[in-house]
Amino acid sequence: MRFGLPISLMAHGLVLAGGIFMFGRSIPTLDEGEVVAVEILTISEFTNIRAAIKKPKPEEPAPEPEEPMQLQTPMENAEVESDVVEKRQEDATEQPPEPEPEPEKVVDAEEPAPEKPKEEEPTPPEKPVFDLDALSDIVNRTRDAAPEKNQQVALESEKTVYEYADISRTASGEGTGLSVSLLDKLQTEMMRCWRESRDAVDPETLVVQFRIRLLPDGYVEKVDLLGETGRGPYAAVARQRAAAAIKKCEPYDFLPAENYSSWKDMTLSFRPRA
Amino acid sequence: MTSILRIFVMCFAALAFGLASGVVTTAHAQLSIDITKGNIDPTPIAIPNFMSTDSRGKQIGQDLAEVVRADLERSGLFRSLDPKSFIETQSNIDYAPTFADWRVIKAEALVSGRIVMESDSRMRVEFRLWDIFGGEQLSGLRLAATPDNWRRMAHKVSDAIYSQLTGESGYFDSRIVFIDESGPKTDRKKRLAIMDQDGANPQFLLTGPSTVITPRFSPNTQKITYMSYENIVPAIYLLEIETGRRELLGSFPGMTFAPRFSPDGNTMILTLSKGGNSDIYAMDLRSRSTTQLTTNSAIDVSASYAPDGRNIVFNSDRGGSPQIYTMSSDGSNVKRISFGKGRYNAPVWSPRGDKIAFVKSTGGKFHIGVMNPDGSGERLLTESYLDEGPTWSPNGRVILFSRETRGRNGKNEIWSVDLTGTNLRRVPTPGSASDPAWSPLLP
Repeated sequence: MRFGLPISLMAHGLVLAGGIFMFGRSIPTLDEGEVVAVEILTISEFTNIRAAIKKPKPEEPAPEPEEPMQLQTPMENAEVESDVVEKRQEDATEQPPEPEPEPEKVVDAEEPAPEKPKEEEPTPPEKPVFDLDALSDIVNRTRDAAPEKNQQVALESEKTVYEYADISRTASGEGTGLSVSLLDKLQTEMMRCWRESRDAVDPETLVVQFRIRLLPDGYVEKVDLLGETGRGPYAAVARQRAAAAIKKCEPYDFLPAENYSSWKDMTLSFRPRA
Repeated sequence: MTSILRIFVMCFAALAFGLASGVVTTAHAQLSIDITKGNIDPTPIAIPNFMSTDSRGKQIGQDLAEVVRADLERSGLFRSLDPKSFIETQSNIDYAPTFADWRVIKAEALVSGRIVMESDSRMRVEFRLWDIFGGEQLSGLRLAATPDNWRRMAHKVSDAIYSQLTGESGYFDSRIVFIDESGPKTDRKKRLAIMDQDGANPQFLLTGPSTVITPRFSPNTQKITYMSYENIVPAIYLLEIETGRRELLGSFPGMTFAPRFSPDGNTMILTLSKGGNSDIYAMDLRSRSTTQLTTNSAIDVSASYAPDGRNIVFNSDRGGSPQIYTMSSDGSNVKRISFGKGRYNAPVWSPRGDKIAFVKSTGGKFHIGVMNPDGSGERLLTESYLDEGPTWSPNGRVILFSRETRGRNGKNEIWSVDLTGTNLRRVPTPGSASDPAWSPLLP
């Protein structure tokens, strides 16, 4: 017992010294080098292409009708303004004589009426023949003559809804769904429409899930109940309130039309908090 | 070797399952949104006057609709729309309303009803409740009564609407017993009275100037128990409201406090003071025998049963200050559940079983509060100079209590507050009133 402490101290010291000796050299130091600035690019910036339609041509303003050229009176011959006024007053007092009425042309009643041209019997039109080649030619000529006719264009009423580009294109890439802000917007709208069952006993157990299908104009096409967790009268009320919220929030026209494929079919889960 | 092989097989299986799950999830990828927050604003509801072909029926239809509007509005869960804003005037309740007209004025529910006077002594009340956005009928009901009973019919209509739109039973067709107080503070007369839950039809239950306190309703019958100081020794009585028959349950020497019924109405729980020590006792109302439930040297008072009858909440100062405790109905498993600052009193278990109402005094103020049966989730709903005596509505959503105003001429009033604490209202009473007790729903 008397030598216990010194022995322990020596043993610990040996272990520490051994550790330093063994591992002190084995840790290689990093080579010093130049710091290179790295710019991080996400692939989605290049692969997420939103659908777009051809930019509508700005309407050219109609040319203003040119005013008819007016002859300018030479300065030396110009009337003094007071003279013009006096002359106008004179003109107003001296009314021009009314033109005499022309005598009516008397038509001789016995004069024979001119003969009508002889009507030729109409020939029946040729029966139209469905000529596929001719139709194809028309299409080709249209393409050659006016290539922009084949691009999808926006209606006047929908010009604010779409994204425009020089040529129309379809969406591709993972990020073409609804953005986070739009999902937030959808949740906020649903929050306004949904009356939460906060008064129920254990409201957090009253989860109701619906699948809704929307029309392009944002109106609800179909609502299907996927499932509900609660039972009894509280569950029935939770289901009724969720269904009413879906109807109350329509039209969902705040969702972007170009992402219709993303939101036309949605699952909404109404989950009250405790 | 076998074990290594088994581990390898399990890992492979787990990997295969994970990949398969991922494929399935991707294959069914669909926009999925969780809505976790909604609004809790009162539901806008349209209640036109109930139509009738009879002039008396028309008047009743108007009065009845007015009571229904007031009932639902007072609950704090509904907002009754002004009839002047209605676009559609229905002439027959048997046809669906024009939902678009009601959507325009932001109504979410519509009540269309009629009164049919079958004879001078009999009328029929019929109504339909419509979901405006769902475009469907939620319920339809037909009630028959004497024309004099139109107020009760109105409360029954309110209950049916409330129940359909909230999922919980209503509380409008119920009554309140209370102590009507008159005279100065030093010589106050306290008489037992009863009224509808909306303050209508107040009347005294007992004749004579007897001093009565702590009336309590039986949870399933129209009977009340109360304490009377007609004689020097306080006595506990049982009173049948409909018949007026009064029965003495017992006179107990010493102090006696706050008798209260068990959920089945066969037992009464009360505090008796024996040998200077107050303990909780259960009295079998059939045999009149008493069983001591607490044996602590502290003051144990204000016991109240849970709706299932298995547990009891009570007030005790065994921890040094008045706090709330629970125990099994046989007196075992005593557990303290309140630990906040201040003094807790008068705990009452909700008929729904999910909350306990109590009075808390702290910082010179009194509060009515609620907490979960395990003591968690304590919330204070009111704050005043003196709030006391909470009693629950039959559906466990509203609490009545008495509030005393400060000053020499301060008087007692009855107030109500809902579980959210936002819907605080004064209940109209003929005069000064205290110690309310809410009845169960009328049969």
